[in-house]
Amino acid sequence: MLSREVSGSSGLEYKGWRGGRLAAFWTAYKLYIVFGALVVISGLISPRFFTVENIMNLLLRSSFVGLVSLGMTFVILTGGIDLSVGATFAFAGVLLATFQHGFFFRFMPELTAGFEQSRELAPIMPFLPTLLLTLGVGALLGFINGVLVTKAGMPPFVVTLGAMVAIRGLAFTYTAGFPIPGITHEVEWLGAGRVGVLPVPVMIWALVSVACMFVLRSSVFGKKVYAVGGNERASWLSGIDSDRVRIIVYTISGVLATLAGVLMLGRMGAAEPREGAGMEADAIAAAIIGGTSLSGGRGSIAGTVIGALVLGLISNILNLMEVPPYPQQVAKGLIIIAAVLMQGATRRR
Amino acid sequence: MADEFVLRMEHVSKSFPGVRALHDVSLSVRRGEIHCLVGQNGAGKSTLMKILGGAYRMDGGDILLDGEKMIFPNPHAALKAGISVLYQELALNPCLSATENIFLGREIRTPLGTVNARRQHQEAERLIEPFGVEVDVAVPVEQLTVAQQQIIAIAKALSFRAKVIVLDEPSAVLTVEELGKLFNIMKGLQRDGVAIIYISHRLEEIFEIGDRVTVLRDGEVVGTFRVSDVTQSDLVRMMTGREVVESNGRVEHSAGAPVLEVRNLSRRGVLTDVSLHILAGEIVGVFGLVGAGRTELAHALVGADRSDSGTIILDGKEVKPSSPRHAMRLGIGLVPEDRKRHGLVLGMSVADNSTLTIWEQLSKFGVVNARSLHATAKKSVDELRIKVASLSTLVENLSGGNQQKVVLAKWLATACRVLILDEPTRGVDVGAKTEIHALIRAIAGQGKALLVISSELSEIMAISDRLIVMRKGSIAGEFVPKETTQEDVLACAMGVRVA
Repeated sequence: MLSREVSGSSGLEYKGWRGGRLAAFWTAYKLYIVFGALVVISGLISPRFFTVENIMNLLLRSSFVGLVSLGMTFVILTGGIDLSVGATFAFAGVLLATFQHGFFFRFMPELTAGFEQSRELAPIMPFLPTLLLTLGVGALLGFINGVLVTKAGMPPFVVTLGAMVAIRGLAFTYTAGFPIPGITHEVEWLGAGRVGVLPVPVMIWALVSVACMFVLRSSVFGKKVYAVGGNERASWLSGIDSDRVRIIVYTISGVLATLAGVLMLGRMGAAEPREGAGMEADAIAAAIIGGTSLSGGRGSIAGTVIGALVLGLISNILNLMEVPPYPQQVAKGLIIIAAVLMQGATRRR
Repeated sequence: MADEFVLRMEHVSKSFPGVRALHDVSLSVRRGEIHCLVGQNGAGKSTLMKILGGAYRMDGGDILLDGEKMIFPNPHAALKAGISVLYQELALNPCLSATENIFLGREIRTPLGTVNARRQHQEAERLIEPFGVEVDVAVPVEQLTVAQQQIIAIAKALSFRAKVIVLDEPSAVLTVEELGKLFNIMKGLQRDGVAIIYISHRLEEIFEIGDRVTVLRDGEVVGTFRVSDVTQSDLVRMMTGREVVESNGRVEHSAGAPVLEVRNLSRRGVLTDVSLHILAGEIVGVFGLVGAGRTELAHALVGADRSDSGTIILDGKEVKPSSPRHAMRLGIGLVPEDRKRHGLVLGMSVADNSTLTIWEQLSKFGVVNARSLHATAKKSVDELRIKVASLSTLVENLSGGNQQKVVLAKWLATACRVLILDEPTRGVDVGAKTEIHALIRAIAGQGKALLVISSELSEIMAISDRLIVMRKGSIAGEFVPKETTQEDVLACAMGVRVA
C-alpha cells in the first residue's frame, strides 16, 4: 500500500518535469533514438559493421525471432503470453520435413536412405499443400492454447508452458531425437534464397510486419486487441467478443512461429528438434524492448520490429568484437534489462 | 504555543503541466472539528489532500501542524506526524486479509519477533466492531463486498491515532446504516480532540455531520463557513458559480405496450421472481440497499450473468440474452456501476471509447473507416457536451462526469431500445450530475425504455417515473415518486413497516 502511494508521488515529479517539447519528443521517439545511437556506436566499434554483407547477415539472423515476436506482440497486447513459440518453431520444421518425406518415412527407412548425405529430396507430396498443412497445424496448436485460456479460464502462462513442453516432446518423439535431413528446392529458397541482396526470410519478415501493422492500426480486430488488453471486462460488457479475439491472437502466434520454423528449416537444410530453444524469451524480449506493456493494451508492431533488431544488433556487434558466445549471453541479458529499465523509467505515470 | 488550529495549510499552490490545480489555498482546521471540503470534481480537493498526505509535493506554501512547519516528502512521513489520509481509491491489498491490511508495515510482534496473529485479529475485530457489520477479518479482502472493504479502509485510517484524519468520499458505497455508524465514530473521535477533514459530494451529509465547510472552485478557496450559516443551495451556487434548479421537468411518456417485460426472473441465491415492465419513454428507477440484488438484476438482463428461470420479453418477443454482445444485438445496453473497471478502456481515446460498441458498423471488410469513427465520436462529444481537449485524449485523463458521458455515448451510438444505467452519477460532481440527469430524461424522450439503478434516494425520486424497491433479491414494493415520500421508500427497502 505504501509503495503504491510513493510511486504516485514519483509519477507526479515526472508530470511536473519541465522539459517541455524536448521531453515529449524523447518520450515519443526514445526507442528510435536509442536504436539509432546503437547503430552509430556499432559502426564506430567495428569497421566491418557497415558492409552490405554484415547488414544482410544481421537482418537475416533477426528475421526468425522477428517473425515470432510479431505474433507474441498480438498475444501480449491482449494481456497474455505465449511460451510455446520456441517449441512450435522446432515442431514446424520437423512437420514440414516429414510431410515432404511422406508420413511414414520413419517406418520405411529405405525411402530416406538416399538423401542422408545430400540436401536434395525427391518429394512425395507437392510443396504447397505440405506448407499449408504445416501452417494449419501451427494454427491449430495456437487455437488450442487460445481455447484453453478463454473457455477453460486458465492463466496463459500455465497453458502455454504446458504446450511448450508437450510440443517440444512431440518434435522429439517424431524424430526420435535425430535431425531429419533433406529439403526441397522451394523450402531451401524460402530459408536461404535471396532476392538481389535481400535474403528471402528478411523479405517475408518485412511483408508480415507491414501486414500486422495494418491489422493492428486499421482493422476492427486490431482495435479489439487493444480494447481487450486495456480492459477485458469492460470490452466484454460493451459487446466485444473478447474470447474470440483472444483465441485469434494465440492462433496468429502459432502460425507465425510455424512460418519462422519453416524458414529456419530452409536455412539449415535439416529439421532439428532442438531448434528454437529459448526463442520464446527472445520474442518476449523483443516485444518488451519495443515498448509493449506486459499488462496489455499498450504497444506497437513498429516497436517490436525495432526490439528484434536491437537483439540482433547486440549479437552482431558482440560477434564482430569476437566476444565468445558464453559471455555474449551475459551481455545480451544485461542489455535487455537496461533497455527495458530505460523504457520503464519514463513510461511510469 | 496555544493555537486553536491543529492544522494550517497556508497559500498552497500546485501546478501540473497545463493545469493550475491549486492557487493560494489556505485551510485551517481546529482541534476536534469536523471540517468539510466541497467542490466539483477537478476543484482541487483531492490534490490538496494528497499534498497534506505527502503523496504530492506542493509548489509553494506552508503546512503547519500544531503551529510547527512541516515538510512531508512521502506518505510515511505524514502518517508519522499524525496525518492519516483515506484516499478515494481504496488502498487495500486485495490478497491480504482485513487484519493483515490494517497492520501492514506495523505488525504486532511476539517476543520472538514473529507476527502475533491472534492479537492482531483481536485488534482488527475491535476496530471494525463499532460499525456493527459482520466482517470476516481473516479472509482476503477481495472476497468481501466493496462496502466491507470500505469499512476496513476506514477502520485502518482511524487506527493510526492521528491528529488529523482525512476521509475522501467514504460514503460512496456505504449503506445508510453503515454511514450512520461512521458518523457516530467520527463524533467519538471529535470528542477526543481529533480533527477530521471530510470530503463528500452528498451535501446533506455535510449538514448532518460538519462543523465548518470550505468550498473550493477551480483550485481556489471560495470561502470557509460555519455549516449552520449556509444552505445547500448556497453551497451548490458557490461550487458551480451559478444557480442550479433541481427540477423534474418530465414530458409525459406515451402509454402503450411495454418495450421490456420481465417475468419471474430468478437466479439461485441472488434473484427471486423478479417481474417488471418498462414502457417506451419511461424511466423506471430501482432502489434498494447494498446487496438487494439491483446490479445482479441488471447483469441478468444483459446476459452478463446467467439466470435460472424466468422470461424476458422485448418488443413482444421473448429473448434470451446469452452475453452482453447478444444483448447489445437485441437492443439492450448496460452502463455499468463501476465506470473505471467495467465501463471504459482507460488507456484508449475518447473517440475509441465512445464508439466501442459500433466498431463493426463503422467498418468495411474488417477495416475501420477512421473518418466515420471520428465523425461519430465528434457528434457524441458535441451532443452530450463532453469536455475534452481533443478526441484523441485518453479517457483516463477525464473527470468522472465526462467519463460517464463517454460510457453513455457508447450506448447511445448503438440505437438500443432498452438502456440500463447502474449508478449513473456515482462519484460525479454536482454540475455533471445535473447534466447527466437531463441527458437521461432526453434519452427517455427519444422513446427508449430506461432502467435506472441508484443508491441515492433523492436522485432516484427525482428522476424516475416509477420506482421499484428491491430487497433481498426480490421486489419489495413499487411507488410513484410524486405520490410518496423518501421515508416510505426507505422503510420499504429496509423492510420496516411504517404506520
